[in-house]
Amino acid sequence: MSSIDFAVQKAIDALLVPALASLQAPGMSAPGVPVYDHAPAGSAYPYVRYGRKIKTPDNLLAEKMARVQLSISVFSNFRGQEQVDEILARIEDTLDDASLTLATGEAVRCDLERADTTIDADGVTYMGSAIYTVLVNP
Amino acid sequence: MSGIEGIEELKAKLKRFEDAVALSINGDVIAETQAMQKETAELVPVDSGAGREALLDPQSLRVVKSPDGPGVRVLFGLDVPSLAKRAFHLFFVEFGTKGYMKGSERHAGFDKKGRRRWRKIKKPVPPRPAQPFWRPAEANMWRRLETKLNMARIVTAAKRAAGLADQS
Repeated sequence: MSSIDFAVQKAIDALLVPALASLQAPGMSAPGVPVYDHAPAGSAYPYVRYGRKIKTPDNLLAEKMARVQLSISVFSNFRGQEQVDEILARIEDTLDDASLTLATGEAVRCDLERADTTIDADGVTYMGSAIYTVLVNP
Repeated sequence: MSGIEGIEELKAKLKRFEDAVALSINGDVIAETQAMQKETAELVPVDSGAGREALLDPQSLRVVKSPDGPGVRVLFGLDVPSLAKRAFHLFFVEFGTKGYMKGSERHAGFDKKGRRRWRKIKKPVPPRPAQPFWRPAEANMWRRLETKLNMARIVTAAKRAAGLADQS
């Protein structure tokens, strides 16, 4: 049986890549925010990167149900939080309450759990972090 | 002048009802916060183990009387200075860090006048993805607690309706 965790990431990726490809956030000279699973060294800002995935069994209604929490990070060197906030907002428009089609199993719900913005210790790079919870039934 | 008779009495009853619910879940609030503490320690990535030890330190979880009502206030965090010093890096684990190319400058603290100091990077530093451990554990705690709170509301309301409010 293939990994439902990765199926969730692929389904999210299928929605997120086109949604962010057309986004021109403040400070960007052309539309398009790349989305990485493994960001290459020296990637141009802004970009979005998948982070940690946590699967927790949630078998109240069905034996194998689980919640997959996926972290999505935004990196930006735009002065101030506006660019990060715009990208987080586009991600929320795309993913919160979205219907995900999984290659294996079924996604019951996709909800935004938490979104934060923060600044790196360098005082220049702004980061956004959002956690989405997907209730899955394998 | 128009008004609704008995509104103050209804408000007082609702207040008593919520106080009764709060008292009935006091133990759950403490137990669920302890469960969150355990979950953060299980989820946090470990290198030397200093961050995990700080999360499990008894000073990180305190129970005090609630200033808002008859319940308790449970405080869980790394706000105690000795813990904050041991576990400051957990912020970067939770939110991730940017990468650095060779030759770029990296923040290296502050000088005596409070100005940022920078040092040149000799070897590239890869960006670190966010590895959240706190927010997922907190979200799971609220989800469990909300379920228990709703159940306590239902049970308390049912007992009152049946005239069994004083029985456990």
